[in-house]
Amino acid sequence: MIAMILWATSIYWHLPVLLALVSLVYSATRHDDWRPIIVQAIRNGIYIVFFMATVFVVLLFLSTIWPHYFG
Amino acid sequence: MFFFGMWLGDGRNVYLPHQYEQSVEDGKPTIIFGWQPPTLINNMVLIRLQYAGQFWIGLPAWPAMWNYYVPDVPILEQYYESPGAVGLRHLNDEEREELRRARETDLQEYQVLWQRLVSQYRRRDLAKQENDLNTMQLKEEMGKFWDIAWVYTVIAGVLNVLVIYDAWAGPVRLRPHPPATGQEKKATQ
Repeated sequence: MIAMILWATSIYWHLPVLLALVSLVYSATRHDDWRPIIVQAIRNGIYIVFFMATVFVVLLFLSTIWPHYFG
Repeated sequence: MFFFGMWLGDGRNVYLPHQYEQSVEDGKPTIIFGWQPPTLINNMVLIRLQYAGQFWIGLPAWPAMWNYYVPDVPILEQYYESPGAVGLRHLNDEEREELRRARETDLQEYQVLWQRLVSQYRRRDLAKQENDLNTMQLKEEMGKFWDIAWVYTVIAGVLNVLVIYDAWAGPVRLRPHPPATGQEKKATQ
């Protein structure tokens, strides 16, 4: 139950919302028609996710793996 | 998006403080390669960088700027209070009377007195505001949402820069269009 409440109020729920909004608005400033807007928004979303995943992996490495094996 | 961020942050995350003035008084002005940036740049860019992003959302963020400059006639002070902004209304009757007398007798004395009163009030107000914000962020239901809240407002403001550009110049094209062929030219005519 507690875990469910924590999950429900997690700050990470805001990630997809922000991702969608940023991708859509950025894409809408590059195109006028809906189709290219949506296509580029999806592409931007994927870029952002990959960028954040890279940062996540680097931070994970520095915080857990690096101190364990090299610290 | 901007208002959602404000709502998430209890309406306390769009403000511009008078922090730099106190730093100067404490003998700690910001010096960048021998250059002392103007007060507004210090307060906005070096102290409250979030507002530099929020500003571009337009009217919903501008009351903070108004309250920064015109503390005697605040707009929506509950949501856009400028910490450390001091006006006559913040002084008590005794202090106002003292100021009035000084203005009638000696203008230099009046200015010194005014600076002293402003300094006293600003120090108290900034400390109070910092304490309020710290207390609020320690609440169980706030926590990290405080940061998510200002992120919403800043992203809304920064995206609005793109929207303003789009409205002014049309869609941003990083690559120029290839020159139109003869047939395309005819079709557009």
